[in-house]
Amino acid sequence: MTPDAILAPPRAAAILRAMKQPARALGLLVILSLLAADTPQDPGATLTVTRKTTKLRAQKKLFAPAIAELKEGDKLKFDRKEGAWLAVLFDQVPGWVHENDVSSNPEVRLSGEGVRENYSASETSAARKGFNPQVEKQYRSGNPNLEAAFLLIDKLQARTVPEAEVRTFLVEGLLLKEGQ
Amino acid sequence: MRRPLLCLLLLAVPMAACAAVMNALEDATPEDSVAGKLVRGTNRLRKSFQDLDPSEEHFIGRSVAAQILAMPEYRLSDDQALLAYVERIGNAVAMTNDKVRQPFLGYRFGILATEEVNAFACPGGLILVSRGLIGKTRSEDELAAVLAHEIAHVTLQHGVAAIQKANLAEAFTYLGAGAAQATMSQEDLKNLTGLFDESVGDVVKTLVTSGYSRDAEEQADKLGRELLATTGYDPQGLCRVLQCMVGDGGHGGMFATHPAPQDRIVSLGDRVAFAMDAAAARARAKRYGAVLKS
Repeated sequence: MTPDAILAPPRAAAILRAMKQPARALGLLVILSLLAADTPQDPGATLTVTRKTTKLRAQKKLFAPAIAELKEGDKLKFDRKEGAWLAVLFDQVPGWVHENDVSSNPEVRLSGEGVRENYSASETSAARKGFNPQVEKQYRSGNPNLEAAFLLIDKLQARTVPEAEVRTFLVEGLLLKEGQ
Repeated sequence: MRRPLLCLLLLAVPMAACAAVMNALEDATPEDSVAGKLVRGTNRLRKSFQDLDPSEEHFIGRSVAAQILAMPEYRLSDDQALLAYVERIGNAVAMTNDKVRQPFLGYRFGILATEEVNAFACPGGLILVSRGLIGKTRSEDELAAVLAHEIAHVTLQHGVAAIQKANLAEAFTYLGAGAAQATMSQEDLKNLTGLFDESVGDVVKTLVTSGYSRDAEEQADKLGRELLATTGYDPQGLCRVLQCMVGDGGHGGMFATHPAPQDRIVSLGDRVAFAMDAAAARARAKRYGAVLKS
């Protein structure tokens, strides 16, 4: 059940009536909370990618072939959950994402750093309250002694190890079998 | 209602509640009504560090790392071969485990050019490990154990959990659902930067001065060992590194902020059965030696 569905007007009114009794209200809150946890419950729920980039994979396993590159803010349609993996649709294309890479919270705050060009600026935290690039910029202007360190961090964070190289490293160290 | 059940319910609510629903209920109930008080109380409990979104954790982590790297004792090493090796081991552990929480940008590593035995797992997955700590390892599996422990701290969000409750509470009051929709004014920016500054300060203080709690270290040790086993590394790797530190007479760095190595070995409990394949041992010894014994 999605949060919107939970708060459909007739049901919301019933909830509020029930909440006049504290014991019932507490029980109700627990049920609501469990239903509305961040893990999606219902097929069709919308998920938002929360990492700067990730992959839509063909199978529910790490190193599985990528079907599409996903970016921060991309919307996915939830189908089902199997272990730590979620079966989703991205632009009608089915695939798998790791549950840690997405959020079902419609209010999730995005940095705006990884989003696609056509993404509405008002949907990212660059235009909203949150610990975002604007806040970091302001923080840096108040701490000029950290500027050299921030430049070093930029360099460290620009370094990436391609997935294929990690895979080769694992195979060469006999931590993964060829073709596994 | 029986007390244990009540406690369980009270715990379940903050753990599982969804911001959208709870904030909508807060808007819909009068502040002074019983229902309103219940909803508001539940909402206050809910607002834990888990409400920080991945990109926010990333920005906090960057500033935490900047504070550490600005300290004269923690300069970055320019040993590119060692850095590349550490990056590959760290990513191997992080990418082969479903249990690892993948941060906004993924894991990034830096080597600190100090003989102090220390490592810092900054929120958002930036891990700084000292040359001194790397020097305590004698194999790739042991180096993987050091990195797995730090990845476990990031996965378990111990860094952000170090933010003082008062600062977090204020931040989340400010970042509440209504405010999150609003465009950021100069006043908002100033207030948020103040809260950001205090949050970064809390994490730096914990990482550099006071250390995580004994429980947090124990959790990271145990999850780290599990991550090693899943990747295929020797799960006893961490015990071997800790054994190397026992009786070392070390002081400062990790020795000041972590439980004693002997205590950590005891906490890890029974050995986990592991048979190292001879060919695997040779392959990893060769590349470890090429980087660290040259």
